[in-house]
Amino acid sequence: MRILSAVNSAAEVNVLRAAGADELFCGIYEKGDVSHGNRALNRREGLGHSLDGLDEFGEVAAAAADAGLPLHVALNSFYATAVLAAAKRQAERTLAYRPAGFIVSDIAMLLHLRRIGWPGHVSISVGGVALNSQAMLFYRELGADRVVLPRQLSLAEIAALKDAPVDKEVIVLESRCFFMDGFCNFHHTVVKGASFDAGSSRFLARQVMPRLKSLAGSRRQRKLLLRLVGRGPAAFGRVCSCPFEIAPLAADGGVLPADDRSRKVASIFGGHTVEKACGLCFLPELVRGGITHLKIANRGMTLAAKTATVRFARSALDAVGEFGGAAPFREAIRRGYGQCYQASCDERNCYLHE
Amino acid sequence: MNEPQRTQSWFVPPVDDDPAAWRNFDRLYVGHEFCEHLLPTPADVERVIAAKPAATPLTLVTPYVTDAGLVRVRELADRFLADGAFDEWVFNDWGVFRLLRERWGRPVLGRLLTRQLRDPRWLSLKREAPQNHGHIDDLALNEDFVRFLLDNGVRRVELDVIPTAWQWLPEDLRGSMYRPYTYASTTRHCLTANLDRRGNCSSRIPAGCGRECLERPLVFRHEALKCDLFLRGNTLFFRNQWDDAAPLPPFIDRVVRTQAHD
Repeated sequence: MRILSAVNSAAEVNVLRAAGADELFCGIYEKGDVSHGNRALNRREGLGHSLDGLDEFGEVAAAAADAGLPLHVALNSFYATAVLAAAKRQAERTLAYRPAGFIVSDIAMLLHLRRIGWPGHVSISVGGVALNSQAMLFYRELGADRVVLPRQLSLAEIAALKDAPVDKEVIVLESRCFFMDGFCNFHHTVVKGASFDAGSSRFLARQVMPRLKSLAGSRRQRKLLLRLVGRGPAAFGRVCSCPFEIAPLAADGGVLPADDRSRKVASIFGGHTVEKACGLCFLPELVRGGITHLKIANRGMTLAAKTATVRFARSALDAVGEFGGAAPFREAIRRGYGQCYQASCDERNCYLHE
Repeated sequence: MNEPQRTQSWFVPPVDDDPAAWRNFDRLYVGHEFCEHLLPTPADVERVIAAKPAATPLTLVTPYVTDAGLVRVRELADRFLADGAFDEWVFNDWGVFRLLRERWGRPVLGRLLTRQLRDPRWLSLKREAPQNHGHIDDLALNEDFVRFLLDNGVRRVELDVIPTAWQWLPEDLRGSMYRPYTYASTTRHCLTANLDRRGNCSSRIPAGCGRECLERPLVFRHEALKCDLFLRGNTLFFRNQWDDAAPLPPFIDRVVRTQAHD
């Protein structure tokens, strides 16, 4: 089983390798790139999450080659005809730098890569939503050799896919989605025009924004954030995490007073988290279930955060089989979680369940 | 809006419905787009067949599914596609497509796979930050993908009403438009099925289902959205604001009436 981490600059490559990464993935942002309402040709926005054009991609590719780490390029948006042409061009221009693979969602991009004779890996992103063995066969027949499993499969459902004839990748750390990634239509910004991290300035996108986003903890920090950028922390949140008022719908279309059921739904929905998610407790089950790759959803995060999660995943993977049963292994993972995230392990953060 | 050329379809809900109302429609949709637990049983389908007007054709609608859901889809297909009870089937999962494509009836690309962006803030996002949200109105049915669909026998696509920038589509591709409820997002962390659990179980995939979600929808409100969301089952819907705002393109020859809070 191999560990994939995002990489956001050439300087990160050897640090991530030392922490335990086996493979790397990235997106590329070139000025003017836009697809499906998003400033990029992949599913993350701008320079906060992607490399700065082919020049920076070339630097990262060279560093990854020197480090012996396969590098995968995300081109995993869905494209209208005009944008598909741009995505194809980006894919073809990266070939000179010898990436190990591409991560795609749009069937047109998968078909194109095989049509031009691309001999390397093609992974189906979570956007491709391959939940079952027939879907995996479908994508394999079109030329994919790896599938990133949707985040919303139980361990039993993952185990049922063991014999599917593709490599299978599971996301085990960092951002979790309450909704189905591939079928969710919410934009991640809540407040109008608040795509701050979509900026085309490397400094703003990579140095300023991650720090601003972290200023959402205390009231004082929130006020500072408001003063600095004119918007509060909600601007950096996600609509799927809004504190919704939830109430029953009346038969006439009106809204009834909240009842026990709606209050419980509100408490579940309002208590869900998307960050600091972890599924490493179930590594032994994932190994037995034929999972070949562990992905960390850490694009756009600081190098310190990336390093901590990669190191955590590596230590967990190395420890599989070293404990005399599931309980002590999970206890060790919980301790590791605390060290990695400086927070207590909580059921709400679980990626996977029995 | 006057749409004399468009056939009207009714989405039969997975609970008791009044068959008398079905006479007003040219076609009935039977099945579910979002949840394998809400797929009809063969007995449910038999009841619809017995109650519908004899000449009204049926569409089998299938959701995204796990391997367990594939078994249920196969059971329905073996029984009701084979004997022609359904003359077409909507797929929202490529595994379902692979499973059924060599069988009977006409495959239809479901609205989960047509990849429209359906955020209810669509218009304000585009108006207020166009530089950040270019191509937000794209219908991601690019030429290569459409060619793939046609090569594989898909001649119809299911769509929601959003002010899409309708681009080129070939003449032999037809579209259905769902009104008035647009789906915004869907999850397998079913809020209703998780209600009986202790603690915060927002990350769990419920193992079972008692179809409790059909009891009564919930309304989700937040100032950021400027419209209500309706949770029905495992899916959030909103009543789209553009229903009558713009003419539908000519390739839309069917309207599907959807229900989020009946």
